[in-house]
This record gives sequence, structure tokens and C-alpha cells, in this order.
Amino acid sequence: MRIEESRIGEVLVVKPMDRRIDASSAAAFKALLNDRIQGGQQRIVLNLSEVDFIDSTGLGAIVSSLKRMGEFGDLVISNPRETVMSLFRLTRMNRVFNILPSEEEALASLSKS
Amino acid sequence: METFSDQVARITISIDSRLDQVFMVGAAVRGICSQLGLDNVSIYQMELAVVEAVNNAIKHAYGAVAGHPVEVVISVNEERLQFEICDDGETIHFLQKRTGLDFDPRNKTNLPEGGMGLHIMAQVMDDVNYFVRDGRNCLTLSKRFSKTN
Repeated sequence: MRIEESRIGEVLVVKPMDRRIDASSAAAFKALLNDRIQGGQQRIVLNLSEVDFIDSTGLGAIVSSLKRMGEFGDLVISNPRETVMSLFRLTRMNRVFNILPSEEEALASLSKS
Repeated sequence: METFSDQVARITISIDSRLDQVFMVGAAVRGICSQLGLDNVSIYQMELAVVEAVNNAIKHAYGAVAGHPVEVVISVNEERLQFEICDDGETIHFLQKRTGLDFDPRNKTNLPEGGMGLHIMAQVMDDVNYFVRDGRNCLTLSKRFSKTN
């Protein structure tokens, strides 16, 4: 799976460059995020601007990463397309994640926490 | 279960029981829904529901073992879309399971990481049915639509 990563202060921005996070790619995506979390990353912005399809397995990988970050870590979603946003609403995960329209707003929200 | 009469179009797609082939079913669903004039969110949700059903067939009926067929029949008439997803694997009476997602969004440790597919199908579709016919497991998903969508 193609991923772009950048570090801004203490925040890691992860930007999947593939259009799909689905059952065929979720395991690799989850392994990558878990590797960063196990490496000590406590604050992550997941920029979904390039992603136009996520299925429940892909969503499960994102949820797993949030859980793995524990009480003091946080994972914020940015730039979701309206289609992908509908998955978060269908599964009520929009009530779990902090989801913001831009990467800048996501970075700002993590700098406050 | 409603009957599906006045059919005007039907296409059958068969893929191997491999998760890396499911995107082709999704592309077909997306293309057909786009031709019908559905909005982008509805198109995504139709693709999502069908992909979830195919993923379930591969993971649960076939235990994620490649080399088995998953057949998807897409039927369209003037007012309804129907998807029939069939496999020859183990019969899973998963419609007997609860379809709701019951969790406390404030309790991070108990968030579900799986088991969301059936909930999604039930949310997105008007009808979800599962039956065994001639030894084949078939799940039907149907959705009414109007041309003004």
C-alpha cells in the first residue's frame, strides 16, 4: 500500500495514496500504523483525501490503531470525502473519531490536546 | 421476499474467492449505479454493501481459501436494483445474528474492529435475505430507487 508520511512537530501525518482501504489491503495498512504506534508515535493525523473507498475491514484497521494508541494517544481523521464520511456515519464511528475537513485543522486540534 | 418482475437487465460476474479480486465486483456495481443516475454517496453505499457481502462469502463460507467461485448477479428494473451473491461454501446463518452495532463511543477499549458488514448491509439496503438453493448459499440485497435520484 502506498503511503506518504510527514512529521510536523510531534504529529505524524499519514496519507494513504491508494484509492481503496479494503479487505485486501487492510492488514498491511494496520501493520504500518501499528509499527508507528509501537515506535512511540502518540499523535497521528490520518489524511484520507486520496481515498475514495473504505470497507468495514479497512475501517476496522483504523479503529484498531486508535485503540492501540491507548488512553493518552490520539488519531484524528482529516479530509474525508463525503462518500467515506458516510461509512463513519453508518457505523457511528463519526462519534468516536475527531474528523476534520482539513489537515491544518486536524494538526491544530492535536496541538491543543 | 418481494418478487423481482419486469426485469430489463441482468449481469452475472464470477470471481475467485480472493479478497484482491473483490474490487472488480465493486467497479461493476459502481458503474451500473452511476448509469442509473444515483448520487455519489448512494453509489458508494451500494458498492460498499455488495463488497461486504462478497467479503463475507470469501472469509466465512470459504474460510479465506482461494480457488472457489463467488457469483454476483446484478439485476435492474425500472425501480429496483437487486444483487444476489452466491457461494458453494459453508452455510452461515449470519442473518440470525444481531445486525445492530451496540457500543459506547466514549469507551475506546470496547470499540468494534469487525462484525460491521451485516449492519452496513441492513442500513443501506431495503431488503436483505439469505437462503440456500440447490446447495448454494445466496444472499440477496435489494434497493428501490427512482430515476430522480
